[in-house]
Amino acid sequence: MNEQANNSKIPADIDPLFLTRLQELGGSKLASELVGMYLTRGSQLLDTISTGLDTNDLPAVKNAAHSLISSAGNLGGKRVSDLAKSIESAAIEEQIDTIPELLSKIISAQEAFQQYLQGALEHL
Amino acid sequence: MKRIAVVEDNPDNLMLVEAILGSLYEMVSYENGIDALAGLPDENVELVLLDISLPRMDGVAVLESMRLDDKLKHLPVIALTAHAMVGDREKYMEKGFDEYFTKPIVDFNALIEMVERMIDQKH
Repeated sequence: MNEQANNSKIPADIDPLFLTRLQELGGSKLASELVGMYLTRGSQLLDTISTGLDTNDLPAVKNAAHSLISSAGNLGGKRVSDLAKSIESAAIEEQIDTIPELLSKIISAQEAFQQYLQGALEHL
Repeated sequence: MKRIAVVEDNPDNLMLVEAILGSLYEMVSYENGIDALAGLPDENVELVLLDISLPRMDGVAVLESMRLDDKLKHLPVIALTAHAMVGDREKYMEKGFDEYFTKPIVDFNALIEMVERMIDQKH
């Protein structure tokens, strides 16, 4: 991946070094596979959080948020990972009224992160 | 090549751990603790990386069962977890884990060094 060409467009809360390190570890194949998995699974986990909130299923919210912490974080998605951590904490502490705002924020962050990953995928 | 096990239900975490350690160790993996407890006694592994948040039976319960099993109770077990709040490391060490490593995995070499150190200490 041409880092200098791409880094100027990357939001500050996404760390491109994570994809670089994945490429160093396992080449483009590993990085592409992990990005591909996230592009599918990340959206599913957000859907689970949203549905869990609608149905008051806090364990489902907690579990999906917990998975997102590492799945996004492994690829440098710091804001998605941090917001997932906040949602997990809110679910554990049963602070349901704080989750909708966090969900709105994480959906925006996820859109930016997915856009970054889709762009990165073309250069891997 | 020495064998180690990883118990992890998140497929991308599992893929990453196998990429980090797979050239150094023969890897045995399980998606949940129940399968791990059933399979590990016959696998002759040197160490277990154990996720905390597992479906049906969490990592702490898996560890408790391992410590009651004559074939597994002496194995070093590293907690592999996204529970990374202040005090979490102490909490899991008190529950009997031998080490604690947080996800997302930021430092690949730190994980390799921890696994090597734990296996060396075992011998």
